[in-house]
Amino acid sequence: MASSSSLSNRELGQSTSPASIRTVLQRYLRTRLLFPAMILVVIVVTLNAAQRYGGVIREKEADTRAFATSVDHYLREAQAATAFLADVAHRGSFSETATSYLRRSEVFERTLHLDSKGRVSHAVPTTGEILDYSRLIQFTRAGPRDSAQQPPEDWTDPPVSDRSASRKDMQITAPYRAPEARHLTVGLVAPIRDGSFLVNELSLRALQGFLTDFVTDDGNTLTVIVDEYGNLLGHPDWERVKRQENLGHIEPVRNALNGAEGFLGIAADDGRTYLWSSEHTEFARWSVLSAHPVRSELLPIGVVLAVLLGAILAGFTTAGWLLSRTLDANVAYPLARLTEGLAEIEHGKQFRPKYAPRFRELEELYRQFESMTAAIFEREQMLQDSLNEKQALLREIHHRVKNNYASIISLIRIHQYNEQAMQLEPHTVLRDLANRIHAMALVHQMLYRSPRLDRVQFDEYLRELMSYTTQSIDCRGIQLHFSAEGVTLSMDQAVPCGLIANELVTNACKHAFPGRDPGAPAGCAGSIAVTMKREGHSFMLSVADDGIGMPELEPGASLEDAENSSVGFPLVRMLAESQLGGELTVENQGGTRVVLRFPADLDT
Amino acid sequence: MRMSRISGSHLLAVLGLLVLVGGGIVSVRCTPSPITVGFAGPLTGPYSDLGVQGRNGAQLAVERVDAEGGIAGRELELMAVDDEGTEDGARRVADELVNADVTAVIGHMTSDQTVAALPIMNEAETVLISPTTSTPLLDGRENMLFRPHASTDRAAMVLGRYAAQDGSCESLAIVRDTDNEAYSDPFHRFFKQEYTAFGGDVVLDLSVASRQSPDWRSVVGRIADANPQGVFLILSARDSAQFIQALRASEYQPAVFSSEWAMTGDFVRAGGRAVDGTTLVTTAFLNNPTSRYQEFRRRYRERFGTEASFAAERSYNSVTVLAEALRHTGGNADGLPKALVAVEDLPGLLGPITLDEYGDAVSSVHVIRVEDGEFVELEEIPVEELPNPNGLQQ
Repeated sequence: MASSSSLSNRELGQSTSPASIRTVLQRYLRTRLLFPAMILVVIVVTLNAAQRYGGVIREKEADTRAFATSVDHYLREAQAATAFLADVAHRGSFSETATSYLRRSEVFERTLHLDSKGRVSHAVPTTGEILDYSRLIQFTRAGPRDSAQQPPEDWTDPPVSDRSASRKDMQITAPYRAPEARHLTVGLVAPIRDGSFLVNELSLRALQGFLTDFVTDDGNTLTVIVDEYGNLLGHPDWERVKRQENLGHIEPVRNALNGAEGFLGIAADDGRTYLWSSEHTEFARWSVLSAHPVRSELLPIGVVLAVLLGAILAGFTTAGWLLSRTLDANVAYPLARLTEGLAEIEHGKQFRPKYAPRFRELEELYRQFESMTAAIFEREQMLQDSLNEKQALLREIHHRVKNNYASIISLIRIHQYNEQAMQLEPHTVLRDLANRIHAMALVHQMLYRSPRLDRVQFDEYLRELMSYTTQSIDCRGIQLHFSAEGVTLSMDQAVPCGLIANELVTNACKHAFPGRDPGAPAGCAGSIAVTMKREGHSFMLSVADDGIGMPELEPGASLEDAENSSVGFPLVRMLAESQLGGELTVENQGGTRVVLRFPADLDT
Repeated sequence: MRMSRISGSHLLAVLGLLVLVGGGIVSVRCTPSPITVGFAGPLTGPYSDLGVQGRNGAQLAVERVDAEGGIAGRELELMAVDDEGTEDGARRVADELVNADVTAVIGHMTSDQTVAALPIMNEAETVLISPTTSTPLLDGRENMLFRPHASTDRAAMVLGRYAAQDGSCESLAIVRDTDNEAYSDPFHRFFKQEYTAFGGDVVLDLSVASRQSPDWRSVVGRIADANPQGVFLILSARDSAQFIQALRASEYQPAVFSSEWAMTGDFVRAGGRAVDGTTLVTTAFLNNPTSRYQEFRRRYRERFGTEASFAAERSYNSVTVLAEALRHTGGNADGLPKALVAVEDLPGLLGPITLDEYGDAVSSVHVIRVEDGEFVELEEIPVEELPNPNGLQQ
């Protein structure tokens, strides 16, 4: 198996063994299912996150716009109040009206009526020692920033409307700490027709209170107002306004100061990270900023997306795992069993599936495989049987060869020690020996021609043998008859039978028909009949001639008497008794008939 | 075998989540941590003009350093805290900054607060670079305080001498704020001794506590009753402005002298035209027309919408000095004192800055007058011509 696998790899040009089906399935699931699924999930989740993020941004931008609108509304009301007080100041009833107004409203810290030089004519409440406001209020006029903080050279410069003041004429100052004021203020400055000014000091603390009321503060969101330089005017943490902090170092705020509106990005402030969006106010050059904590705004999205992502990935993973498990149970495991079954064939175990496969193709594979292994085993058994037979036959052949050699030696010794034989001519002795050895060899010749290597068709053998024998000796005028149809003999029995038949026929040809005419047609001189047939559990071989019989023997003479009269008879007797376990009888009446009966072997 | 495959699949899922969730965190973590520099000053209260200007100046310098690449690849980050202009506040924020493990502190802006916070800084071995603390009480001491500007003793003497000689003011009333005594007391002493040494006569010496909101008209009334030719103020900008406005509202119109403490934008804005003509003394002349300083003023105005005062300029210089020292220590606090005293001829906004072995600096003194809302130099006394304060008893 290993060698065939190596060959297979070489044929495929692979330097390493291929991966297992588990690994292949696992890779397939990862590359074709899990990875694409993960990428798909990530894309879906990212799109979803972008959509949700966009929703949050739009929501925050809307909040900021609403917030800016509110601030504008607040400032417009402050403008209206300033215009009203400017009118009042022009009519000369400033102090009473301003006192009454400030008593009812906390929007302004102080209301001042300044003369054209910036000196305080009236102030509610009073400004203490500070009576010169000419440099305290700085205009934030539209125009270059360099000049934005420059105080007006002449307080009569600002435009004066036909009415005492209009919103268009009003100026709003940078934040400043007013004399004896509780909090930071910005001034709303309205020119009056007589050249004086009405200044309302807007309380940033009051603005803070308004923001707090307006904005639903969850404690995390910052609603911030900055001036055009990023100086804080409003912040949920009033202390930061008091500290006059500047947010210009925060990039989104800087972008807002440069004119950007809407969502401005993510940046940290005071150790926390926010989503910043901004909107400009209409009246002042202020920016309204909303800063929403990234954590509270995006964390829920992140959690939802993480859960979604986790659930989808878990689903895919579980599905992949289940699929992998199913493939493993239905494909990989059965194939592994099949492979193990193949390996076990080497050890002589036949493949027998212990459970039924769960799909048709594999069932067919199992069935074919089982059938194939059964065929292999059957053929192997046949081969084994054949091998065993051949091995036994080989052993038998060796045994026969040894026996044949022994027989040859015996034949020779018969001639050596037999007196009659010693009187024979040497060529006659050699011829007889050759005939006898031929009879033995003919058995082997018949055997290797036979489909069965252990048995000989005796009739055919007899025909061949007699043909040879009659050619080697002078049998002219003698008719030979053979009858052994259907008889097969083992080599153990065929050889002695052949020798006996050879010996008896040779004797008959030599001695049964003396004085015959060699030129007479066959049968005219006499006939010899060789018969071999089955008689129950025995075989009967008879050689009969119609010659002169055995004249040296008296009627009823024994077999021993016949032996003494011929060289061949001792040999016949020895073969019949010792090798075939048979019995010889001689009938000497109207010719000679020698009959041999011997038991058939078990295979016959 | 099967378990390992399951774990592998789960691992992939977890990795995916980690990549998504952790990516942002990792990117944040990879950013080098900033070097936190504390700022302590009065951001609220009567002295807040110093604190706010100082903080803004420091912020501007930090932004410049960061724009130039920071220190050893790390950005500077300013952590500003409010000492409320009180000693208790100074001690509180000193603890806060030490606990925040800041690399150094820029502050405080008034001498009393510096004196209160210094023991805490010394114990914590945290460097304190004060932009405006100029009391000579801290001169010549080896501690964690560094001042890249001169103390006020010489400036006080210069102003005393100027009032007696050039100001043609033979008699004076002095008003000083005892709520910043570490500053006002030595300034008062050096001024008075020099002024009297040059023939001046202090006819009235008043102490006020600014946090108790003094009745400035009453103070003016008392001085008017004494009728000196001049008034010398050691008050904050806002208090000085209120006093001078009250003074100009009266019929009594003496010459007015002031310490450097009042020399901020608040003084001019809140004082209005009344403060025109006031003579001040400073070791940092704001109208120095160097391009570096003009650039600083322009950037400050663009950034914060107001004019930079000496407090902003000195805070800017303080951060510049600190950044230079940090470059030598690789951004670490270790070795910072040695690196600071090694600072020599560092280009500052108004000129080269050199710290002596005690972390102090000496500079020329400028006599300034307010004219039409602007600070204008009357006289510059170079270092070599400055009076020697060691001859006076501290």
